Amino acid sequence: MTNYIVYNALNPLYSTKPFDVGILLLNELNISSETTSNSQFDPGFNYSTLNSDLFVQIFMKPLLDATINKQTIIALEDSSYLGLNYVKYLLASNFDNELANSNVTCKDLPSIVHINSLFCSKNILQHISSNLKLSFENFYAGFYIGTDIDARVCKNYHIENIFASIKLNKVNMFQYAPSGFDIFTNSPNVAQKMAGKILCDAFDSGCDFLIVNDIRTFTFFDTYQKKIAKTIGREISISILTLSQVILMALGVTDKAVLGFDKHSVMPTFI
Amino acid sequence: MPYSLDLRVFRFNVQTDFLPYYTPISLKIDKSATLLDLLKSAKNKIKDLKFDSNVHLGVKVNSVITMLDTTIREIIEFFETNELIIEPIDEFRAIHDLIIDFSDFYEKMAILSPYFQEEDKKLYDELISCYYASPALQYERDYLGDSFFLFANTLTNKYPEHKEKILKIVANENYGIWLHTPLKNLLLDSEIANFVEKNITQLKQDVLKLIPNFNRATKQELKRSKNFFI
Repeated sequence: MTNYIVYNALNPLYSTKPFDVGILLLNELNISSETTSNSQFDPGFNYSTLNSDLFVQIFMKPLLDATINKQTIIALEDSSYLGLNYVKYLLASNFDNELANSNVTCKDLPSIVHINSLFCSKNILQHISSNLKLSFENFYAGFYIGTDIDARVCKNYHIENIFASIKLNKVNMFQYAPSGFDIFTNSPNVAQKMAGKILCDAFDSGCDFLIVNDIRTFTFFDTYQKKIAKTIGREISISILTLSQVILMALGVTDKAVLGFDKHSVMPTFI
Repeated sequence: MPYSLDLRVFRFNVQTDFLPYYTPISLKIDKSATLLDLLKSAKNKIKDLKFDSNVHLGVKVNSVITMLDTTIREIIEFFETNELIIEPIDEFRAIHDLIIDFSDFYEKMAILSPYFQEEDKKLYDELISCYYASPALQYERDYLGDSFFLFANTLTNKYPEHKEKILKIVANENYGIWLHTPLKNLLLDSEIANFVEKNITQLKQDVLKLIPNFNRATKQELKRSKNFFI
């Protein structure tokens, strides 16, 4: 049985709750796991450009701890998944001394899995289907991927199977446009136009809500939605959700505070 | 074994058409054939179809830039469908079907002309797909483009005496490197996207080292990050 540990040091500058509920979902699905302690917050993948040494330090501790305890790390969202994998790659290729000091070799470094990839196993899909309390058969959702994580990684989630297990209809929309968050500080106007294009595309394609997998994308699309709408000169109101929130609802969790809906700027109105 | 594909091919003639349209065709093609072979087969069915066979340019397949030497197998595996929409690499610059006007691509190169030799142009030519893949270009036509930064990165290494001047151009607040967003998934060949990212990351680090005070927003970003994480 795989020994899991959840990397839960999500950056509190952003909306963490919609992703933290992934831990609750893991419990619901009987996937036992611990959570990391005393880890530094994930600064975001683009921080690796600004200060690569500090970026390595931030992710080195959870990686080495998981190595020593022979654990597989679960990332709750894209940014921490990418950060952990990137630093694992750097440790394996450039940091022999640091590894030797911790009595670790490259091949001991832990596996890192994205939480979404855990939902697509046959057993979990069966568990979800047989415990379905809320059917999404009248709902349509988009699944946004973006340009940070490789689409080939996301294909391993077999998202169609997950949607089918909760009877949610998947809307066909372009999933790979950049969210714009990376350039928001420097070029807010262009960034908001990029985000606006995606939100309008989702809305025009008939999405009741849009599922995102990255904490920054969530924050940008949800918290800044009114600003984005103003910039592009069009009214938008589309709820942004995480896959964990949607599956939890399907399994019968309806408490808005437990689901983290109280932290949403665009409140989902369908429960 | 031949594979059945349903294509919708972008059509537009700048001299006769007001708006673009799409011609639907169905054809069978071997999985080991390339995208260039597919376009040639499409031309057998659409006699007046125009496309550029420049291997560095590529076309958009289902909105993702795909090089002409990509096999049909790779394309089908990526998109998981046999329905393909074929469009020019930048539909806003279409002249005739899949052929575009790429004068803007060379106008950007000219900005760096004091800092390179004739022989270096060949490298820039090869980066054309990266230029049109740049998402910021759709919103800011003056954006220098990701090919510009790859070219600049090569020039700073080759001609270190020009490094500071080149980096100052690269760091332009309105049209420079700070508008770059990753190209992953926008180019079907992930190796090209990774190559772009690696080089642009290196260039950003060079800019920050050489001229750390050039950009107020980046300074704020760094300050906020340092306060928070250290």
